Amino acid sequence: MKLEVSDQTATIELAPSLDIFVAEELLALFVDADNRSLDLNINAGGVEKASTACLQIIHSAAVSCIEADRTFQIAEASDALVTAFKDLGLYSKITMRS
Amino acid sequence: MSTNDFDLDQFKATYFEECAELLIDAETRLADLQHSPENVDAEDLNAIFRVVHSVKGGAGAFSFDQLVGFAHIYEALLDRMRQGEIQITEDIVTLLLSANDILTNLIQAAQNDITVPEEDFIDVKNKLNLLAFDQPVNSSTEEGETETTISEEKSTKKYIISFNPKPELLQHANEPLLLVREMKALGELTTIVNTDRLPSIQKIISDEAYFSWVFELVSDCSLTDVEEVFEFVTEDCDLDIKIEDETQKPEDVSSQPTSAPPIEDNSTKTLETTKKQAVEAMQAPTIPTPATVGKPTPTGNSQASQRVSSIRVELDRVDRLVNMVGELVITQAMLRQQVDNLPPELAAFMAKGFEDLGMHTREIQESVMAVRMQPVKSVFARIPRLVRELASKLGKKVELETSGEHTEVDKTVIEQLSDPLTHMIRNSLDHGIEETPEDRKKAGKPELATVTLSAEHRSGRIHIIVTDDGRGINRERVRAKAIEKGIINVDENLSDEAIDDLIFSPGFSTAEEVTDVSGRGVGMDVVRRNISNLGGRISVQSTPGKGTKFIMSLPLTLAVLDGMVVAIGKEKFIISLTAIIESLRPAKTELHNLSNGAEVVSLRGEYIRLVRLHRLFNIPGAQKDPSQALVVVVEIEGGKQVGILVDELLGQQQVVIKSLEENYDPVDGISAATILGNGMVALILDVDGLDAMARQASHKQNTDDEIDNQPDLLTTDTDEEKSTTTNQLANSRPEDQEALTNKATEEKTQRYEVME
Repeated sequence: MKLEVSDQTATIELAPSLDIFVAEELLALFVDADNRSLDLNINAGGVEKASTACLQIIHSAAVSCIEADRTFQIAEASDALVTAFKDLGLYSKITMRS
Repeated sequence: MSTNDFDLDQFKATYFEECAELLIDAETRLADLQHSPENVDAEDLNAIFRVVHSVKGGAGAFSFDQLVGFAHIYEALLDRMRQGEIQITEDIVTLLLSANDILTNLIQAAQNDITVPEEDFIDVKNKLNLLAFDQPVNSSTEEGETETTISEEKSTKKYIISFNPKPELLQHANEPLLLVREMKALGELTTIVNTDRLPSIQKIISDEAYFSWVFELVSDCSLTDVEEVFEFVTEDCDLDIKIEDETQKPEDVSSQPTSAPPIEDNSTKTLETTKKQAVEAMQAPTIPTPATVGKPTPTGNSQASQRVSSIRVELDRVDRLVNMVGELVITQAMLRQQVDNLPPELAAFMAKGFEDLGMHTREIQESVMAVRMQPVKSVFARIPRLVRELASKLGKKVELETSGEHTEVDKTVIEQLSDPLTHMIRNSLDHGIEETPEDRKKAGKPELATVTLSAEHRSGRIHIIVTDDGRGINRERVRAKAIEKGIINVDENLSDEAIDDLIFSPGFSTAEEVTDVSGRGVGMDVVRRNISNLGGRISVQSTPGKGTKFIMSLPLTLAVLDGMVVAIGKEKFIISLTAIIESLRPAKTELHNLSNGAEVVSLRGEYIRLVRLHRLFNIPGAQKDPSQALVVVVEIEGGKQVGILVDELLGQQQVVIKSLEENYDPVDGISAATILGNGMVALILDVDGLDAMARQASHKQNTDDEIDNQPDLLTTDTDEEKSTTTNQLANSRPEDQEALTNKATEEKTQRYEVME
């Protein structure tokens, strides 16, 4: 996973396995984007596995971003990621948009 | 598995490895229970309970329903036993042992993805059920329905589960997602999350748990089933489970069924959290939780890492490491050899560096090999059970004593050890121990026979010794049987040791009838072959009326070997250092030819067979005169010695063993190969095989020369010498005399093997 910046928007392509072992790496990317006050565009099409640790970080990044009046988008969310959001009860806190 | 499912397969291997370790522990503790059922250590029962509980827990996660069902009943009985509700008797312990067997089989079946027919274990299951729940299982019960015996009604209930993880929950390898999915499997689940504790992205710690949940589960499952979902996280969370009637349903507008409506447009999914929704999310109603979780401690990570004292590593990774270290050793040897070609001033400079490199390489290699070392306890743990069952089957009273269980040996050796050891124990109990306790009393021995199993390190090898205090080998019977089976000729005169050794002949058995314990005529020859394939040796020592001792000597590792590089002609061979006793250059007067074609060298009054490698392997340019060459005296099977004739010793070297069978084909007299510093392949000598080859060669020569009927055993230069050596031979060790007189027996045996 890496951060690609273009026009004040950071794009992060999530790893297929979002297990607890990649949580630190994911957090570092979000902190970096936050430090640079970037909007966030997350490409989640390749996510096959998710963990609570990573979903906490994604959720916190989203809230931090939006509270700072920046945009946070998750594009192409895979079924695995959506199901994980649902299972943890976070589905009600996000909005799907086509 | 769909991509939505959390991939559990990656954890299965670990689960089965853990099961194997747990079962060994259970087996050991059951053996303790069996030993003294009247004086049971409560911790043993608790430990066995924990084993079964853990097996069940893991099985549940992987949906091994058959295993879960059986483990549940087994666990329930153990629970009643540790509560003191059921008294521990010999019969109960026997039942537990059977249950443990079935548990093992069910784990193996789960591993192989097969189902064990219910009728295979219904008897034991019924007995367990009767004791655990006071009712048997109906034999026609379908798989998975065993839980119906638990006295809980199957009515639909709503459970309200408050689950408030402690910050360290994730650090302890717990995953709330898995818990949610387990609950979803039980019924209809509604999940309400509380994100109040979630810090901003700048303050969050990646592996701390911040969310808490209230779950509503509508299911006909039992409270126990729900509790079991959380059984491995209870120490890492505050948990409260209530049934709807007993609690007030929490109201939460944000609550969302997990089987929630589908995504509005799956074809072009875009997930966005807008500011408004995020603020709403942050302001979501607080879910009441039974306890307050303390503030996350910034030192959580370091505390977690301090607790980790071991990690589980796939064997493949260790093997790769071992192989790479092996290659490193070879490369280092090559580099060292290159130094010889450098100018002296550079060579001296490099020498110190290579000395350090060599030392470090050696340390790395020893450290890596130590990773593969395991105590033989895992093999020994199964033996008490085997002895008990065999003794019961044979109507004998036998006590097993073990020692040296913590002696370590390479994992590969351990894996190959089980079968030979089982054969040896079976043999000791079936043939070694007297038929009945009365027979023992008549022989002036205690009724209770003793079989001793011990392990120890000796001379860079592991010795595993099985001793019994039985009747010893009945040599007359063995000899008669060997004649009957054509293994030896009727007129052959064998020493006691040679007769004892006949039990390792293929197809040999003195059992009058075939039983399921032994007597099929396969066993000890297979034991010897298996041990030999491992680079080991087995010998037997027996005293009539007193007992028998089997000594199994195995290398500590099959990956590296400390060897002596020897030269014969232009060829180089490796002899294992652990086999070498000494090397010498014999005087001409110490060399003798026997009438049967064999050559021996006299060493401090004993005669040692000489093995001419150049002759066996047809190597040109070798030194043929032993008095001009060197004789390397090595120890072979049964503690005997032979002298290998070589041109010179080139030096000691640790070599990496490369299997000849895997990379080429088996070769007589060669156990494996290695790569030397110059990149050339050198063969590692199988000293036992060489001895057998030399015997065959001398016999062939003997037959060719037709000198079998010569009256004198030795032919020397002068009559005086002949007289001296004949006397010495008469006084020499029985093994040497046997070597001279009994080769025909062994050749018969070898012919038999070929026919087989």
